Amino acid sequence: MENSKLQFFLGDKLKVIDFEKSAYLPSTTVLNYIRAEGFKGTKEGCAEGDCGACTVVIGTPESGKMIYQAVNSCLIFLASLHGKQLIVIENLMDSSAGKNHLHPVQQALITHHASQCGFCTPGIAMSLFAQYKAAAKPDTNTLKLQLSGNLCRCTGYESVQKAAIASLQHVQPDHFSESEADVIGALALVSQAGSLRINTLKQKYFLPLNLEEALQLRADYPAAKTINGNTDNAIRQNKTFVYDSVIIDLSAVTALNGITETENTIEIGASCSIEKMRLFLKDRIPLFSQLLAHFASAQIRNLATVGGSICTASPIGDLLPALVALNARVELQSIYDYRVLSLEEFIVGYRKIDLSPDELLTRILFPVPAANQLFSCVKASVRKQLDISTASLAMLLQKDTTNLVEKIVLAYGGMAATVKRAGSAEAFLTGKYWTKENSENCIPLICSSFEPISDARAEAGARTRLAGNLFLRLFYQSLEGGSHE
Amino acid sequence: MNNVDPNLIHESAYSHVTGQAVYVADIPFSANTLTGLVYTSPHAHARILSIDIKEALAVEGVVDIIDYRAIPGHNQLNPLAGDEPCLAVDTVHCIGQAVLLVVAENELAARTAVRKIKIDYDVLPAVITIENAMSQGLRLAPARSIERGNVEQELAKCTHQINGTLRIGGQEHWYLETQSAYCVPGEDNEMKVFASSQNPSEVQSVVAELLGIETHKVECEVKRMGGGFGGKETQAAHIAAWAALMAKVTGRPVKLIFNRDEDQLFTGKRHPFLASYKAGFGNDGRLQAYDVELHGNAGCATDLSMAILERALFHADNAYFVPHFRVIGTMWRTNLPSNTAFRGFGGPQGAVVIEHTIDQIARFLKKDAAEIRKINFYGADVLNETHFGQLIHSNKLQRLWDELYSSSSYEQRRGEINDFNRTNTVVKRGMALTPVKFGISFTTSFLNQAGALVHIYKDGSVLVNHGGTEMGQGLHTKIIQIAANGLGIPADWVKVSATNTSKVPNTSPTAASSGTDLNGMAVSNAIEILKQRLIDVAKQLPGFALSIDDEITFSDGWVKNSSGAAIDFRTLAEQAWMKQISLSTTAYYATKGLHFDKQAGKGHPFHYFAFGMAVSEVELDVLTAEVRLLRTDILHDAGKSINPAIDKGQVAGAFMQGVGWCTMETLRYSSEGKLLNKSPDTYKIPTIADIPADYRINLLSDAPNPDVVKQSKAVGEPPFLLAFSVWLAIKDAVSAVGNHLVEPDFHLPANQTQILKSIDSVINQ
Repeated sequence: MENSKLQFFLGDKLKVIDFEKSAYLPSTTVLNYIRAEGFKGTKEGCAEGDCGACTVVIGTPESGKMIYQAVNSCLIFLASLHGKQLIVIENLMDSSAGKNHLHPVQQALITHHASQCGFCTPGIAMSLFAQYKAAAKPDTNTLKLQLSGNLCRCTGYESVQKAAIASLQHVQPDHFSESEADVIGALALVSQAGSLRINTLKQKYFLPLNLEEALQLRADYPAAKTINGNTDNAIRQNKTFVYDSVIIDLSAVTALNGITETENTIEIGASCSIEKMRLFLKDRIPLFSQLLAHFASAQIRNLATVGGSICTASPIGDLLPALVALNARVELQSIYDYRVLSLEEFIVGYRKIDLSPDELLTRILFPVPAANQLFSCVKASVRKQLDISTASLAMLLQKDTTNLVEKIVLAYGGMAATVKRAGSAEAFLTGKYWTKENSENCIPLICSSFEPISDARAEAGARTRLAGNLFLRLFYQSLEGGSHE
Repeated sequence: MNNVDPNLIHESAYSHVTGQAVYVADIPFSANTLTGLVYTSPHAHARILSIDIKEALAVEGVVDIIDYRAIPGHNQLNPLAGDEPCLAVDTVHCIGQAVLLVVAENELAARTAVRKIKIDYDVLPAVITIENAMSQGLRLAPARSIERGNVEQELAKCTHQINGTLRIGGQEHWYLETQSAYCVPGEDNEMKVFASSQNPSEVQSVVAELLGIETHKVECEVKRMGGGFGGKETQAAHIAAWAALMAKVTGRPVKLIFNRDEDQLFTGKRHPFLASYKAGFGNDGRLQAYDVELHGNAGCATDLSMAILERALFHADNAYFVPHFRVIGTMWRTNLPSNTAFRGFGGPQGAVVIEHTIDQIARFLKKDAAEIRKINFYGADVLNETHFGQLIHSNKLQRLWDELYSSSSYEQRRGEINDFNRTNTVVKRGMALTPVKFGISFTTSFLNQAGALVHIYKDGSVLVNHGGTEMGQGLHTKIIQIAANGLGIPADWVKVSATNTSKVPNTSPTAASSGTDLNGMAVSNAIEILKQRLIDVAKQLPGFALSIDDEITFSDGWVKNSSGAAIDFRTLAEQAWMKQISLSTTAYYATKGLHFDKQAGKGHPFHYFAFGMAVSEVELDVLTAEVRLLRTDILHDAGKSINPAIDKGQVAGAFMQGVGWCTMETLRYSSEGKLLNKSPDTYKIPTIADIPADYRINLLSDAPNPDVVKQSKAVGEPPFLLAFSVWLAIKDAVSAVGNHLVEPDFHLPANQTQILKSIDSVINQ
């Protein structure tokens, strides 16, 4: 069974779009779509997911409940809304039965004088709304992390913070709670109708529901752009105004979005979001989870996937150094074949991966660090939140009971065209005691392992300095027994 | 007393949180609206050899591609200086300079066409840095200076002398709403401009001049801006001018909305400065002589650079009396987009140098910098004349220092920080207390004027028009309070209209923190005129006949006299209408007594000074250069605040914007003059996670400011400079790496690269 028409809820109204007859492309961003539809409360501030002015909330049915997540509407394609509920600022007020009641998060922003020019305010309201609907209520620090994807240039955030804390004090069912069951019911019918296959002259867009269908599409359309989270690809489209003619969107393949632990191995589906991974690792590998708390913004963490992040093969991504240090493997599948590669083998160059046109990266596997192993990571960036690293380091250290290093992996990001290990330093440290002296002595080896570049973020010299310093940071951290949060 | 909440919420707050607030891009454009795009130079300096637009014009949906020859009037965006053509003629002077305008049925067609434009350039050598420009003698205008006493002679006599240089970075405005305009051509050569501008009158005159029409044919309307910060003072007129030209040529409405990359690449920023200084002082740390040179990077055109330089000169003293004082300033012409106004307008760049100097003196003398600051403050009644000869009245510096030093537990925390630093090697803490004294008024004295037009409708509702624009600062809200309290009516009976050049003419920009001071006074004057008319009407009513004017009160929607007669405001308004009394008036205000002699360097350029002070404490990871802002205490002088909630919001916002400038916000250019940080991917402004973990903002109590509307003080810019407390706290933490024995090589911004270098400068000494 398949659908050729896009169906989703916009607020409490079911929308059906037949792209044969529509002015929109399936890859029109949700931001451009809703603004063209006259919902102009959602603003474009940057069109690259870096400001949050376009934040909307997407509701996804999961086990009989709606999961509401804040996302950047500039980074999602219209067709990916299939089977979901889109909530924009104009939907927030309860206007049912002639009412005109502000949502509690809106009222809190007013009460605490948290809007000045007002341009970022709808986005902040939507991020707060997602927090309002979240099962777990964050403490102040977590709340700040969750809101750091919403830039404001006027308020200095003091009033926003007050409004945010106040708005989550007394959470009660809202008008979305009342319609939740109806929306879930209607959306169930949509997904039962099969996967979305849009095949127009201007653009083909496929949203497969299962892996077999996805692999078949890869085989049928080897030139297609495969997207999985789309936070990188949407920026390219926004900036170049070049639209792919065939898109395979993996976001609805449920078989790929899981994350499990089996016999001390973490297995992650390629479509698992960074946020889901962060929550899953919270108690299992806390330091990894903390790193992911600083991965982009809440909005992007909700969209970006582990597979997508790996396949962009960015040398400055936060994920890759950690996965290399953990000796991750990737599973690659096509309708004909199945391969497993180490992540280091899979990444073959600057933004280059060993993936055939008919293959998909399906799973990522890595072992949970053993009791005699310490995994830790550190990221240095110009800004703590919503910033790509200037340089980063992930370390896996295995010592014996006498403090002798049996094995060490030092995987650096931001220092070369790909994630790169400081091999000579690893060799130097192996078989030596884990001491300050040995650590300091290996700094020159680390620094001489790289020839970093100067760019918009930092000068080469600063990167070289950081490479050594990041290692020392992890050394000191290892003595304190873990976190530096 | 009329019962209007002093902490009245922002008049647009409801519209903001519901998404109803309309910015230029949200205007319901008419169906025949075209999309404009600006084709700009990819070279910092080049001669245009040939232009080929044939292929671009052929793109489906492209309506026209316009060059300078299509301009009916004067090809000029800065009629005063005359050095900013609307469209390049034969030479381009920066990357991002407009060469052609592409106008099309939709954005995709325009974008496609731009890629097909072929221009041959003869690339010329480009000057990017201040040092480059200095070595080639490329002054924008002759140097300016202000001097008191005999600096050279006194410096030589001082017990101690220090000197240094300081590099001060620029700053991208990063207003959330990018530059945008929508122009609708009308009959008889009329042009209606919807702009996101702090200066609608300038938009109006620039458009008129460009189109070669009289000013009265251009109407500029500004409902609100999604942030301005100075970036929309002059340069918003450029966007409006381009849109108006396209509308004129095509005869159709045109919208021109920059995307973020265009905005960051094309528009000017805060001026980077290079400063060098010499200071002489005694064992007590008291400054005797201070000699400072300021060099600003103006970019490729004059814009407001000389006024910005002037304000830098005026603020080179920040809060300190120095008997022998010399400041020499020069603006240098380079091949960057013309730098422009940005909150503080040169004041921060001037003041930061002396703050850095004092910090250095304290380290030199091994004393606490807060103490050295205190003994150098301007006095209350003596030592209270600035280097430019203006006396400082109602000096709040000493009071602020005493209150803040105590409320921030400065002394105790200094001890705790020293203890912390003794026991921690790779994490250091630092703290700094810094003051601000900021002169309020346009230093171009005649700009200190404002007009208002107030209508009372016969249902008692009031519409206020004034010359100021709303960019989030709460100006309209304060105006509502002034009008409502003046007429004794509830706040929601008063509405402030969109700013419109056809309502109030010849307005000054909403800038220099003066929006409320000037426009509030004009509105207040209008209210007094109307109130008198209503009093005269009331006196004709039964029960009021014997009243004298002074016993008639306006409060909570009622007009009463002392013998108990009362009429509700709405009925009185209707009565006035029926008695053929005008319920509409204009009014005007100008600040008197301002003057400055540029040659002599003496005068009285400011109506008054605003003061503030902050203490910030940071924790620095010496290895990663990560800075955590642990605590900030601010005490700021907002006079008798009209709206404390709004004023605190201004303080908080200015402070964090200053923290961004002092820390993470970094502009890097390639040697060809290309801005590398042209999007928020690499240009980082503070997030909510960057604000002080412990944040205490207070307004100075009991500090009325006479001769200013409602005894208030301007608050837009001054608190920006309070971010120096964070910058110098970071320096203090770096200095702690060397036990405060070594003066760190330290510059602004203290970004990651800078901090690592600075730590090295301490370690390697």
